[in-house]
Amino acid sequence: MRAPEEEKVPQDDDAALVERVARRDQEALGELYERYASLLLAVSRRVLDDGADAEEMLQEVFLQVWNQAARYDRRRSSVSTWLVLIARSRSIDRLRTRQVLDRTLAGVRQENRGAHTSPEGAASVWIDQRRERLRREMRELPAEQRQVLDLAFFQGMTQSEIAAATGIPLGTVKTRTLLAMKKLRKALESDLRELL
Amino acid sequence: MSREAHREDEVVLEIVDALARGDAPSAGSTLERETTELWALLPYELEPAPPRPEVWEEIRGRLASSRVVPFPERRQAAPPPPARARRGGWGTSAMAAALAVCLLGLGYLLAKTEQQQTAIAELAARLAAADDRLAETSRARAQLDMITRVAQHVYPMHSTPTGSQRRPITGKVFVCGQHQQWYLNVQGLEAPPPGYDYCLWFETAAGMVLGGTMTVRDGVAELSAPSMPPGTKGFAVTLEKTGSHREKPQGDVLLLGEESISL
Repeated sequence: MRAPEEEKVPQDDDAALVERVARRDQEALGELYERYASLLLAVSRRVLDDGADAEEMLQEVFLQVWNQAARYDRRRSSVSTWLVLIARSRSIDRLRTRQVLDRTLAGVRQENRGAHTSPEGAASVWIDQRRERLRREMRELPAEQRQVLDLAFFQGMTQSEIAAATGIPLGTVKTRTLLAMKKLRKALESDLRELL
Repeated sequence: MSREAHREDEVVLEIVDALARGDAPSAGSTLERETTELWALLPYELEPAPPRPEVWEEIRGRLASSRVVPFPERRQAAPPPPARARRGGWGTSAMAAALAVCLLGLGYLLAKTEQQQTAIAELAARLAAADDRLAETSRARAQLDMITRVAQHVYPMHSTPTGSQRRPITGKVFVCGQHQQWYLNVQGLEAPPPGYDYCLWFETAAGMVLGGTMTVRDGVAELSAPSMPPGTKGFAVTLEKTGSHREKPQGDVLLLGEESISL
């Protein structure tokens, strides 16, 4: 159960910011950047395994947001999800362009990312709280379930591709994927309600 | 597991695969929306990676460079030269100049068309004249061929003392011995007086027989026919009244040819 003092996710605020961005409000884009840049850069870093490349990708993401804000449809996803999907998709495209898929298939890296800690005041409290919940729930997942989610999300691999790359039977990959998604869905129910 | 739950699992797996491929989520079922939102929560596990301050400045710079500079600001930054003081005036002048150029071009084309039509008419007239000369030359060539190749006798004609012509008249009659084809050529004839014609007569044992009426052109009269009366022994050219009875010559005799020369 969530603590009563936890900060709520500002979904309406996010959507309002996107609307302002669609009207060419650079300040609104700056606010979105303040809220999500650290998360999106982490996604790009995780996918690309290259800090400079990831920062360039972050620029591309926010330029896309600037140019396509009018296309955002709140019926399809929350703003944070929309941003994450953009960052992930562009990063995976860049990854495939660089043709480093084989290198990244080596396994889930256990790299220490302490060197990229958030500066004071850069991250919102509710993002930190969500992060803590995610970490806690992900730690609860069996390693093999985390692996399939990791390959799917950060490497852009389908279940068939995961099965082919890891040698795990496709049925097993599907079972692991499904079990992981069910557990997370149950554990993060409150977060999902806020996002819907 | 119920069939419905099994179907829901299949749908979730399909959605995850679509998201893994990067397909954009649709505004579909609640299950799809929940799965999409859950999917996008996965990176929250990552340690946040605050970008360097320069990244935002670079984004702002790229936004500024891609932005359209408002028109008034650009005008203030660079005052227009006097000749282009007003955009509308310049545009009107340009349109007027373009229209003038079009009119000049149209006038030029019309003049050229008229010149070409005149040239075509002149060429057509010259072609018709050339056709006439070609026909005349062809006729003269045929007569010359008859004279040089076929004619066997020539009757030189001389003026008679009674002739009223002021200048000397000469003529020749070329005759083909086998076919009696003949050709008369008279030089030095003046145009006949009004109401008179030049006539050729064959002199035979039975008397004078009319051979035809001649037309004078540039002092020359020509006449020809494929045959002549049998026993013709001489020729005469007379000036006869138009429409008179032509059983025998009644007018002045201008030329006589009574002796032939074999060719």
